[in-house]
This record gives sequence, C-alpha cells and structure tokens, in this order.
Amino acid sequence: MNRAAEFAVIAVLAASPALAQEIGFGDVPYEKLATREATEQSMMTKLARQMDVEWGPWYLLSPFPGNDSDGSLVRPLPPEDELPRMAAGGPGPDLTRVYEGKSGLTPKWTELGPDDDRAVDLRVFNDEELNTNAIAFLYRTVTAPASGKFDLAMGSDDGLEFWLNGRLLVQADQPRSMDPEAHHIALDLQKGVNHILCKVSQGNGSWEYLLNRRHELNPFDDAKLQACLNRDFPTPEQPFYTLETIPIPNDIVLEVGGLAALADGRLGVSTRRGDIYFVDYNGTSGGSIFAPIYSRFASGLHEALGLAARTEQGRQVLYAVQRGELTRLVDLDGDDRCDVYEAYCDSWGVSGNYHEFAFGPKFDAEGNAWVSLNVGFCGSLGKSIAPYRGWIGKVTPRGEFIPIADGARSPNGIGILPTGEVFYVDNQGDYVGTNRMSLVAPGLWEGHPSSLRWRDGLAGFAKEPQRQRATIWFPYQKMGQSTADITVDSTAGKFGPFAGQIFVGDQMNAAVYRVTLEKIGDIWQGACYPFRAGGDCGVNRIVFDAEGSMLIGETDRGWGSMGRKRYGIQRIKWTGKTPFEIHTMSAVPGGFELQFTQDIDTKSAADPASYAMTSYTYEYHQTYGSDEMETQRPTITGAAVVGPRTVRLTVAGLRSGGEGFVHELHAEGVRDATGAPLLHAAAYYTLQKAPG
Amino acid sequence: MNRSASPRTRTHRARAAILGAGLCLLPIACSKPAPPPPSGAGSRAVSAVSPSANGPTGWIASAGAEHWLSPTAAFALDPDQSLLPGLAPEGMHVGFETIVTIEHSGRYRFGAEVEGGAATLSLQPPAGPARQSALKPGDNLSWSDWVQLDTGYVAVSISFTRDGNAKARLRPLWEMAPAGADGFRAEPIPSRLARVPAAAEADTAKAQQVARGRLLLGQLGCVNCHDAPGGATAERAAPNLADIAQRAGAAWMLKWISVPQLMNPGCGMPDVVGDSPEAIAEAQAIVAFLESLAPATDWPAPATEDAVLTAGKTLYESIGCIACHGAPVSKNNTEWSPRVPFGDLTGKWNPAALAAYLREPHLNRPSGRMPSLLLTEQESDQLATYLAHEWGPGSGERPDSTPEQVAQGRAAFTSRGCVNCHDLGDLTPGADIKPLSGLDDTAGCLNPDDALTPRYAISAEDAEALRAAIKIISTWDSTFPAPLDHAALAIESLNCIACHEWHEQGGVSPAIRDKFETQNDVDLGDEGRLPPRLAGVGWKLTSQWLIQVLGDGARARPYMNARMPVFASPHAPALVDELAQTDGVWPGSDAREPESNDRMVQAGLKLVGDGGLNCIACHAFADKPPVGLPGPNIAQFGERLRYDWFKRYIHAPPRFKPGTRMPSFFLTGQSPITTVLAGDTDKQTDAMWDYFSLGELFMPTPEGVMAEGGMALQVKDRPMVLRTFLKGVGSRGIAIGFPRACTSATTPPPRASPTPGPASFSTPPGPGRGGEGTSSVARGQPSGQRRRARSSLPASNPPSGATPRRPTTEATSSTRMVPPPSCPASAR
Repeated sequence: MNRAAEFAVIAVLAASPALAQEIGFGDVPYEKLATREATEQSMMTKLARQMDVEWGPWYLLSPFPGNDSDGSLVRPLPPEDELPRMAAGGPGPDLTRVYEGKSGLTPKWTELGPDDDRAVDLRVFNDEELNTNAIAFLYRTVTAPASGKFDLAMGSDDGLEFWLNGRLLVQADQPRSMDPEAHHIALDLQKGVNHILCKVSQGNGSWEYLLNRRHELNPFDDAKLQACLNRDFPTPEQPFYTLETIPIPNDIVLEVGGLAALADGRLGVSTRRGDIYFVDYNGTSGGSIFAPIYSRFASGLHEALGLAARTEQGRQVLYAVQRGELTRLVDLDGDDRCDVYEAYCDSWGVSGNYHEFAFGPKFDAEGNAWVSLNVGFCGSLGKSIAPYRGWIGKVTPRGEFIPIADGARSPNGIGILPTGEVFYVDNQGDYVGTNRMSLVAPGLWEGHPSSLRWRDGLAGFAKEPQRQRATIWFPYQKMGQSTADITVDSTAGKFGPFAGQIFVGDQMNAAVYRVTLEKIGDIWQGACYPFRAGGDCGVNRIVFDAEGSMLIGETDRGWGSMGRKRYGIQRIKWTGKTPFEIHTMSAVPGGFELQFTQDIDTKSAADPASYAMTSYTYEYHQTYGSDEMETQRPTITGAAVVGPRTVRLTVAGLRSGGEGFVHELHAEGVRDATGAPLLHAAAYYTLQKAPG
Repeated sequence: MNRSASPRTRTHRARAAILGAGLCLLPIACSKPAPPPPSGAGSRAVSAVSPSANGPTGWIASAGAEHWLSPTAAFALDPDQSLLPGLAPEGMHVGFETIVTIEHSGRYRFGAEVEGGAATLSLQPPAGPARQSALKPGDNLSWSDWVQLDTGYVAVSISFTRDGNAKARLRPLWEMAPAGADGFRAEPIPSRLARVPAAAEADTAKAQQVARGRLLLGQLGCVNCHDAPGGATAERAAPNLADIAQRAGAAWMLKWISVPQLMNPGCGMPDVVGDSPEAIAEAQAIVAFLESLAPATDWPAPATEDAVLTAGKTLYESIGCIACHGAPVSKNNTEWSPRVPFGDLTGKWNPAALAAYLREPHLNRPSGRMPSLLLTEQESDQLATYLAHEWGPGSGERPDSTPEQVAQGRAAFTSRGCVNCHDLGDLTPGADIKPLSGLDDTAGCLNPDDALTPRYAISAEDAEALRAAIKIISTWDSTFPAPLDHAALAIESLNCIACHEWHEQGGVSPAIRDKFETQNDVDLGDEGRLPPRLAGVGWKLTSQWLIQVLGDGARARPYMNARMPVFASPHAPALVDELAQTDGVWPGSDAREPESNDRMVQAGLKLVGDGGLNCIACHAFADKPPVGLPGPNIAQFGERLRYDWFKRYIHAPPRFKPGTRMPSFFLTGQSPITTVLAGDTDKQTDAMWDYFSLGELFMPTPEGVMAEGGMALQVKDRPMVLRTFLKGVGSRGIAIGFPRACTSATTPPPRASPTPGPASFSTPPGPGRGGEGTSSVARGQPSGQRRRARSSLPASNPPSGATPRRPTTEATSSTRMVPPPSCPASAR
C-alpha cells in the first residue's frame, strides 16, 4: 500500500476511541514493574481477592443416611442444628458431640488435617454400604486478618450444600462428578474466625469435595491485564498487530467452531458444544472489547464447526454446519433467539465415528454453500465409512448437495478467492505428509483413497483419477501442526499491507500464518509465511469484521495446544504501523522474486550472503505423516535489487514437480532502509512448476 | 532445523529374508541397505568415507583380532568387566569406527564422556585432512574443535585404552551449531545415522557371523551338552518334563520325540531317535517313561462357542502373541516368517493345561523365553480355546505300557542325551561329551553324515556361523563378565526385537502391523499402537523403573493394546543394568539434577498446567485422563525418566522419537511461555524436572486437570435439545430433555419415532474418550433431492446456561443435562 493511503489509515485509527483507551481495574491501580512476570504476579494478587488467611484443618462427620434420588440432601440433619454456633466469630460446632448416623453408627467429628490443595476423598469406610447412599459433613475455620471478599471455586461429587458463617451460599442437589469449578463464589469474610460447613451427598462411585483456592482472575480482569502486559512488554509482533482477548464469562464454554461477522457489527460464534452466541464487543448495543455482551441465539446443534451469516430478503439468516446437516437458522420475530432450525441439507453420511466432523459453510458468489467432510478414523487410518466422507461439495440454493472433489482426510478449512477458485486445507496424517492447502475443482482427487468408493456411478468422476498435488505445504512444526480455516484479507488495507492475501490458523501453535498464491501456467502454487503467534489457544477460525480487524476463534479440546486457555476469541488489530516483512515470494525463471513491505537497504538486500535456502519434499504414503525428504541446500548465486522494495534471487539447484518441493528461505541479513531487520525472515515456497 | 530428515530410501524398510526355510532365528542386524549419499553441492563421496551398502547401522568395534558390532560405541564397565568375554579387562584397548551421515551442512563437533582411560577421536571428512583429538578422561565432556561439514558422510573413529582395571566409560556425543535453528544440542550420535564403513565390510560380516553362531549355541542348546566358558552364549534351558504327560497328548509326544525337525524345522529340539521301525519302539518307551512321571489328569473337551473363539483370536492378534509366533498354524504365514513359529502342534495340548501355562509359563519353561502377558483367567481360557481349536484337538488317552517299557524309556532318556537338556533331577547325564572349546567342528552334530549325534536342521550358513563361534570361543583363555555382550545376546534370545525396534533392527513386521491398535481408536498414529523403539532406553529410563517393567508388569502406555510381557528369564534381571551400560551410563545414576526449591517447583507446576505449556492436555496426571490424545502419565515421570535424557529430549522431541506427536515447544530456542523464569528454556526444563521429582505422592495437581465424566447437560426448568450420536437411535439423533421427565430421542423426519432415551447423555469430550452415544453405523443414502423439511421444534432456549445481558462473574453451574432429582425412577 502506498504511503498516502497508509497515513490516511493511521489518521482514521488515531481518531477512534480504541487507541486512546486507558484500561482500568476499578479501584485497583495498575502498576507496571520491572518484568512482565513480576507485574502479572503483583496485579493478580491485587485483583484476585484472596487475602492472606489461615485455614484450619478439615473435620469430617460421617456417615449419615442419604439417597440422592429423593432429594435428601436438602432435608436438614442434626449437625445443622449447630449452624447458629457457626456465625462469624462464634464458637463453632461442638466437636465432641456424638450423632446417630447411618447403619447404626455414631459418628463424631474427626480431624482430617489440611487438604494440600487436593480434593478431600470422603470414602473413608472399608464398607461398601457406608460409602453408598450417604451424606457427609465437612467443617473448617478460616481466620482473616481483616474483613473482605475472598474469591474461590469449589466442586463436589455428588451434591453439595455450603454454608459460610451460618449462611447457605451453595445448594446443588444432584448426582454429578467432580468439576473443580462447578461453583464460583465470593466469600464475605469477617475479621477473625469464620466457619465453613459443607454437606456432601453420595450416591455411589466417587465421593469427594474440593475447595478450589486456585488463584484465578475473573475473565474480564484477566483480559484487561493481558492487554496491559502486552502493551508494556511487547513481543516483536505487538507494535504492528495487537492481540486482545475478548473475555468470556465463566459459565459459557466458547469452544469456537464457527465465526461470522454479523451485519449489526456483532460477532456470531458457533461452538463445538452446539450453541450459537452473538457477541457485542464493538459498541453495537453497549458492549465493548473488555466488557462484551453475550446473548445465546441457538443451541443443541451437533458440533457446529462452521457458521455463515447471509442477508435474505432483508433479514439476517445464519447457516451452521453440524456433523450431519447444514442448518439454516432464522430469527422470525427479531428477539435475538432462533425460531426456525431448518434442515437445509443432510445428504451426506455420518456413521457415529468420533472424527466425522463437517466443516463450512463458505458461500460462493452464486449462493452455493461449500462444505467439507472429515473421514472417520479407525486405528490410525482414515476410513470413509459413510457416504461422501472425505469429500468436498457445495449445497445449492435449493438445498441439493453437489459433490465436487474427494480424497480429503481432515479438511478443516475451505476458502473461496474473490476470483472464484476454491481451496481447502488438510491435516497431516495417513496419505498427507504434512499440512497442506490444495485446489478444489470438480472431479479432483486430493489423495486419500478411502473416499474413492463413492465415485461409483457419479458422472464426471473417473474411476482411477490422477492425484491432485499440494498447492502449499506447511512444513511441520515450523508452520504449524494442524492448519485450520482459509480467510482472504478483504479489508482493502484496513488490516495493513496484506490486502488480498490469505490467512490460515494453526490449532497447535495457536498462531496465524499468511499465504500468497500465484498461477504459473495452469498450476496454482505459492508461499506461506509466519504472521502472528501467541494466541491464547489453538486457532480454529478466522474472520474480518467491518472495521478491518481480524477475529480468531479458538479451541483445543481433543488434542491440546499451546496457549494459556482451552478456548476463546481474540481480536488482532493493525496498529497502523507497517512491519518490515516479505510481502510476497513469487517464482520467476531461475529463482524467486521477493517483494517487501518497506523500502529496503540496497547493500544488504543485494548480498547473496543475506539469504540462505534449503529445499525438501514430502512423501505420499499410507504411513502417518512424512519426514522432510531429499533435503538439499540450493545456492543463492545472485541477489539483484530491481525496485525500492523488490529483490530478485537467482538460485542454483531449484527443484520442482513430484509432490512439490518446499524452498525454505531465510533472509536474515536483509535490512530495511532504516537498518531494521525483517520481523519474520522466513518464507516457504512450494514449487510445483518452475516458470520460464 | 531439528527435523530428522533423511535421504529418500529411509521409508522403504527392506527386511532381510530369512536364511533357510522356516528357521526360527533371524541373523542379527540384517537391516535395510544404506541410503545413497545425499546429493548436495557435488557428491564427493570418497571410497574411504562411504558406508557399507548393505551393512548394518552402528559401529564396528575391534580389540585384538576380534571384531564385533556396537550400536553406539558407548559403554560403561565396572572393574573386572570387559566388552567381550574373552578380552582381558586389564588395560583393555578397543577401537570403534563408523560412517556418520551429515544431513545438513553446518558446523559440527564430536566428543565423548570418558572415564577410566584415554581416548582419541578421529574425524575424516570426504575431502580434506583427518583431524584427531585426544579426549581427556574425567566426568566432563571432552570435545574436538568445531569443523564445517557438508551434507554427506564423515568417518568417525574412537580408540580407547583402559587405565588398568578401572571403572571405564565412553559415551560419544555430537553437536551442531547453532542450536535452535538448524542445529541441535549435544546428544548421543543416533545409531540410525551411523553405518559401518564399506572398508570394514569383511570384518563386519565376520563379526555378524560369530554373533550368529554364539546365539545359536544357546538357542539350539549346544552348550547344554558341550560345556562352554561362561558368557559364551545366552543359555536356554529346555522345557520341564516332570509333568509333561499332563499337558501333552501321547500321540503328539510320540511324533515329537521321533521327528521334531520335521514338525518345526529349525527349532531347538533335535532329531535324536528318528522314525525308523526300530526307533518307534524306543520312542514309545520314552513316552511310557514320561507318562510314568505324572498321574493322569482331566482332559476337558475344548469350548467351541463362537464368542469364545472370537475373543481368543482378538486377544491373540492384538496383545502381541502374533509378533513372535505369527499365525497359529505356521503354514498360514505367507508374507513373513515369525521368529518363534509353532510348527505342528496338532493334538499336543490339554486345553486346561494350556490355559494354566499361558498364565504362568515359567513353571514349564524355566528358560523364560516365553513370558507372561499378565492374562486373567478368562483371557487365558479364551486364548487356549482359540489355539486348541486352530491346532486341532488332542485327547487325554494314554496308551498302555509295561514296566519294562518304562525302564527302557528311562535308560534311553539318559543314553540318548535327553537328560542333558531336560533336567529331571534324579537322572544323571551319561555319555562323556567333549567341552566346546577345541571341539572338532566337522564332527558330531555338525557332520551331516553322523547319525549317532543329535540332528539339527541347520543351513550351511548357520553351520559356518557355529564353526566361527566355536573357533573364537576356543581362543578364550579365561573369560570375564561382558555386560554389553550379554545384553545383545539376551535381547535377541528373549526376542525383544519381535516387537521393539532395536537400533534399526527388528520391530513389528509390516505384515502384521495393522493388528496393533490402540484402545478406543485414539489417533496417535504408530506412536500409540506400536511398542516403542528401544535405542537409548538405558539412557532414558531409570533402573528402578526398568526392573518393574521387565519383572512386574509396570506400564507407561495403558492406551496401547499390545502388552509388555513380564520376563521370568534368568537373563532378565541383569538386563536392567546392562541396558544402561550399553548406553554408556552408570546403572542407577543420573546427571546431576537441578537444585530444587519452592520457586522452581511452583514454576514447573505452572508450566505443566493449562496456564503454561499445557502438558496436561495430552499427558494423564495420576488417575485423571487427559482431554486429548493420551501420553504417558506425568505423575510417573520422576520415577521413570532420567534427568539427563529429559533435558535433551524436551528441546527437540522428534530427534529422539522420530514421528512423535509431542510438540517442540522450544523449537526457536525461546520458550513460548515468556512469563515463567523469563522464558529461559533451560531453567524451565529444570523447573519442570523439579516438579516431576516430587513424585506422585507429593506433586500438587496442575491447573486445568479435567473434570471427569465428559460434559453432561443438566435440564433445569425449560426443555433442552441436543443433536448427538445416540446409541440405539442413530447418528442423527435429537435428544430432548424435559424438566419433569426424562430424555426422549428421535431421528429427524421422515423416520420420526420417539423412543425412550437414556437417563443422561453427554458429548464425548475428545477422541480418546468416546462418550456414550457412539452409535452403530447408520447408512444414510445421499439424496440429490431437496431436503428442506421444516423443523417443528419449539424454540429451546432455557435460561440455564444462557448469559444475561450483563456479563457476570458468578456462574451457578456449568451446563448439565441430567434429570433433576424429582424425576420418578420408573421414567428413567
């Protein structure tokens, strides 16, 4: 983008309130210390209301008769007569009193000792009958140096009643397993001795209680604190693209399966647990980035791994893909709640295998909704058990499923270029050497053999098709371990210098990578580049909002990822400052041409020693994944500066064809006109066809 | 980059064919052919620096006139121990040579940890002079200078002279600069990148031949008759025959005593009696004698129910039996040759005795070669039923016999030499048999025409191997304990390599790999379903853990169907120490561990939890399973792993476990968690280690360890709908929870038919924990027609779980779907 446009954009951004924000934490002042770690620790101690208190040992009183199915937890038992003695500062229960318990036993308070942050296992009896259909009481004191609130969480197996100083704070009469964060409460501690009484019911199986003193901020303070820390202790990428967490309340599990920018400026989020939420983070109705407003639009969907928003006849309509169905969701009366769940298309199979996900929809210019279907996994091999598993297809506006291409394995991402070409990303596994992006077009076979079986009888699908090669290889671990989503930068410059390029997410590295494509002859190929790392969790979906910011949706359930969290949404925003990056790496006869985002320093750019290159390929075979094979070191024999931001490299030893050779470039020695090095010096070009 | 790249042919694992028909033993180290030199800026492979084209990986070692193969050139010897039984420990002088493959051009250096002697290291690149450096003894590492090497090969040789009879240790290492980018930190030279030089091919072939011969001396039981010096081979005791008549059918025994080499060519039981008409009477007498030793016992008819047979077959194929034995009926092994084929077992086994034997094999077979797979009673019954069915039934019928026959049999048992292998306590060996050293190796069993000695079906090649071994052993004046030599013999004779790849040899045959699976189909690839490679195991695992693994059934991979057996072999206990010595580490030792304090432990705890590197996403913690793909249990790390291994592994897991799913968090040299110990990867490694060292009893639970039970949904006061897989209903089920009643489930139109549903239902949390509701295959037919049936579901947005318009910090509970207590029991 040229300088004038850049300044214009900066001016716009500077005027917006977002840049001028001061992040406050209520009455707690933000104080920056010498290191990020120290600052974070100090702020967490101040914000998480957990003053230094003294916890007394646990006492256990058990067993009493109980039976979870008839609500006996809430029926008062004699130990609760002592509650008046457990008022703040009171004497506490009579620990010598003997009670009538279950099966003729006479329980008495027994000291258990401290809990060392672990759950208290209440199955203390050697008798199965006493550990079944019973109720136990736990008691302890907590002595506070001053009055104040104390945040903590707790959980139990099975049901629970919890009193502090004689007041009932938690009542959960149900059979359930231990969730350490089943209840988040704030204790109102008085100076001096406070009394805690717990009543825990037991059906059968596990029987435990956990007082969870884990030091944790509420999500809103946490997001704000991270934003302050990122600002004050920036990573190299931070000055150009900020990364903010949009906080999620504790009772919403936002494992993002789909994202859609809604017409009113809100963000539509579909989750793997089957919900669709609208998130106001940008002022639509009073929500803001650190105080967003969530409303639940729909629920009950079967792992909604994709969401799209359309306007049909003036009304907003959502489309979500479930494992077995593309569903059309309509709010008829405008109350932000879905009224119609329409089975728009369910013409593909789903057998019940855990890995049979469905991804999409991405709409093309004709209004077809493109979906892609994961194969099932049996052992470590993909198997297309049910119809069209491993296929990519489109659903017409009449709801008809048109199969387009097969041979996919784990196609978690479809992208449609403005010019109409369709690409998808596949994940490393059997027959997939490493993560890749590949072209999708009618009749193509992407390589996994298990889905070929559905070609029988389909017109336009050869029985033994040619295998489509990779358009872009994402070298394993360096460029992620699990590529997800394909999103084109359609912001016309509001998101910085990469307008028109493609962004993909990574579910392991919690990062976003960048892709450029070009066509040499009739072959699509191109390069991938690092863009932004440091996400809270594995990145699964990417969209742009009307302001030109990137929203990323995250989840890692089922595989784990880098990052502090297990799900979330974050916003990546261009600060207006353009990083010094390799804008585009393209193939030219005899080598590659590099286009940079800033003017370059001629001396360093023209020195072949500023660059280093390796090349390798991957093997196509049944074994899970492939090593980098046939590694070589092509020599960069010349580097010619052909423009203020352009360099042409002459490379000896280029290789193309086969499965595609990745040419991994490191331009560590290149400087921009101010003497600064590249923000990311690596670029990975997959050469299928050498030009010229 | 620390990727384990390699030249193209690496994935084509050519397994050497078995020599001779149906021999049960593979020659050692017949691994795949050498890769062609990696092409780089000109192939400058000089003949002196090229690996042997068909030779094995590893180093060729020599001392005096003897040569042998060493996978890593590493060793650790106590005083009085040596590298070979015949090599005197005092002043031991040994040389190692190999060709190391350089995968990436760059700056390298080679070195070694040296103790108790002086060592010299020599590097010979393809072009340019050789470089020599003296490696000084002492605990510290000793390095050569940095040298620029191009992709291709480099010849490395190390010579070591022991200081008298001192404790001696050598562990070669290498390093590539800079670590974190293309390079790697100091590590033992991987044996997959080392190959014996082409120039040493003749010596290598000889070494392999001698090794083969020495192995056979034990496997075929030669040393049971011919006294041999200690350490000459790994002895193998023959089965205990005191109660054989209760286990084996008489008809089968008769045949086996006569012509065992016909029934199982190459096995350890030689043809002694033969099947001439005169011999039959003698064989019958021996059978009568054996039967007189044990009273008759029940011979139950084997079960024939399909369910039992199927269960037995599934067990046989999935827990590992198949890796050693192949198909139960040997002729069905068409694609490969297992190392311990069954041969003809028609009518041999008493099914009850077989089941008992499978549970406690060491009672009948003191050699311990058949290990216990920790079978339950039910499992051993199922297996026995299946095997008896495959082999063909026998009977407990005993032929009549006379006391004269019994006496004749007892005499024959001694005179024929049976008693030399099959110890029966009260019988003493008869004939005067020559010791092994100095044996005439063209006579006796090795003379094809001498019918008076036991007949083994040995190929000409194996006969030569035996001769070579006898020659070498004959040169040993005195013998010394040689732990590494014994370990190599034990690993082959106990058949570890049927399942475990050992320095590029062995491992599960491709022909049966598909039988090795994980529980619940967890998507871990080969790492989850195939037994781990054993290279470096002495360096990786503590002795205390190895003892438990070999002897007590301790397991680190509960998700793997294949079972690690428990070995009662007399060779097993020593193996624990020997494995460490093979890797050049002192048994029971570890590198100096980091200083532990509260701050480090807390940092390690944070790193392991979901606020740090999130190890718990994959690794189980104590009894809490992980959410995602399972990995070994964190609570066991302190007891299982050695710090010396961990601190290298964590920086570049794929270098030590090619193909692993374990991410390289420290790929760039910086930790992604910059807020703990300032992102310093070494300090973070130490912090995690300090946390692991607390052990299961004392380590606090990391943050984020998952609650159990998946994600059940709780209905409150409004109905709730969930689309999910529902057992018994289908893969497109709709489950509806009503507040007062229970769930009902229906499939979408047109086949809508409400059926009572389960009491509670949940979404499976992850691939390793298939939740309820995984249904059987529902075959939906793809329809080209319009399917826009309007759903008549009511708006189902119960307020429970839905967030109010104002963000809150207090949640009452996470979403659940369980009928409230008021639900009548009968309606569930």
